[in-house]
Amino acid sequence: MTITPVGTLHLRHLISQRLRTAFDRTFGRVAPRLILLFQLAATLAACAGTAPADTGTTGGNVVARGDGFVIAQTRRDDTYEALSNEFFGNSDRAETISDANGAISLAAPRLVAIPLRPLLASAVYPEGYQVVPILAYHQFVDGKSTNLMKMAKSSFEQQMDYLRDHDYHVIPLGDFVGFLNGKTSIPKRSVVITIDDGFRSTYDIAYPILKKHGFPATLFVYTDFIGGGAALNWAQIKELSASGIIDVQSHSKTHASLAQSSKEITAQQYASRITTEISTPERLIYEHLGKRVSYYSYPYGDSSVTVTRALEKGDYGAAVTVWRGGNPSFASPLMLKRDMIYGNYSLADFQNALQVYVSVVAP
Amino acid sequence: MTIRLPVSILLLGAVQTFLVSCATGGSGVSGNEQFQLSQQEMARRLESQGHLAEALIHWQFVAATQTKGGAADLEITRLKGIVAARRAELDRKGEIAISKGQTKQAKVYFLQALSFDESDAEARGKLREIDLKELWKQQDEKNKNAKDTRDVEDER
Repeated sequence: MTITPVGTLHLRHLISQRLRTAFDRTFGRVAPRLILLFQLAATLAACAGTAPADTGTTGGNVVARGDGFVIAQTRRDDTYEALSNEFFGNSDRAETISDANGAISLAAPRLVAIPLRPLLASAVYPEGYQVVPILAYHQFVDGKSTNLMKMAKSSFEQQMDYLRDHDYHVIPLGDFVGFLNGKTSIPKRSVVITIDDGFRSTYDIAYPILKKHGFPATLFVYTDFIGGGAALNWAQIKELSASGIIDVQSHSKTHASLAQSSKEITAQQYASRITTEISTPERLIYEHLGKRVSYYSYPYGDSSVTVTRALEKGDYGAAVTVWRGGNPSFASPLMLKRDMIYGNYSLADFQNALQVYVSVVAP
Repeated sequence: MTIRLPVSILLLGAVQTFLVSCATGGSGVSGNEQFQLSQQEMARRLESQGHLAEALIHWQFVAATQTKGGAADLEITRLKGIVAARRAELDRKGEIAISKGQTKQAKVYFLQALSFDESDAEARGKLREIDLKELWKQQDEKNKNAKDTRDVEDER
């Protein structure tokens, strides 16, 4: 029978005086050795720096919960990336977890706070606020071009390399919409890439480069163009959509400006045209790709209250203009700003379009 | 019998030392305490820098590892009071600035209010309204000019 010292002390209250005397005679002889053993064990434990939960427990060992976060015990030599993977299935939240814990070292096991939702969903701070640039591309060419709407392959590759090498995070438009709704956490230097129209060069030139970099992009197609000489066909669009890299969305039916024309004398005439420009691409994209569109790109960036109301009614989550600038968390989802990236842009021009933070001077 | 007391005390001391050593990783401070101290330090630093919303979050982390009604809960109540007062003041200043047509100044006030309290729907709504108003002003001008151009083209 093995008796632990603590159990022994408890037992001593239950046994008779006679037995206690006998016990003490025996135990008294071995006590000094036992004490030495325990002191030795204590010293070894202290020197080894062993914490209680470091006995084969996982990094996902939750010890407390709060509103929107958990407190967890880490393993020795844990990392914020590993914690993000363990709790969220990917490393995207590593920065958020690190921020929540003051980027403290995880070399030794310790308790850490794991936010389950964005710490500050609005990304508005006393000194300034985060903005997300949405980049707008159109056509791509293998060589050089004087057409501003055509981006040289080499320039596009250089721009994507720049994003990769300078800690920018290219996020899907859907993640940005989640950020606007306070539902999704996005990294600090987030950027969204969009491509308008549906030129074939999206498939031939842009897609392989985006794929190589693992950058998601949204392709806005106007459906009257599809199948034309320089345009993508539905098979290619389907392939792009299935890739998981390209999200196909609507850019109207005809690419006509959605501003009211002088020929549209009545509001009803105008509204009827707008309905067609919204509903036709919805139907065609659904027929060919089996997906419902939820984002819209205004041709020439032109919008009106009639258009935004129609999109709102159609449950669209976002619509993009071509007004320059980054978008804060409080931006209006149906009037998002975008930066056109022109073919004659130098790398410095491209850098200027990447505004990710706006400073505020306190009142 | 002379060794009865020392054995008990020494034995207890040894066990205690062993358990504490295990619990603290040899640092003398438990994992829980270590976590609380580091989070409290972050909360105080952030508050001193005016980052009230973030300070509140760190106090909430501490509170989760304490018994209800602990020191962190008191800090949370205190900080929430400060946030509510500042937010109300900034929202009011923002409204006054708007009424005077000082939209840039109003935007700064509402941004400050939102930075203190993310749930400030009024500040968020006003900021969206200010930005949207500016965008529509530009868009309407562009639409009008485009319309004029089209009219000239139609007349030709």
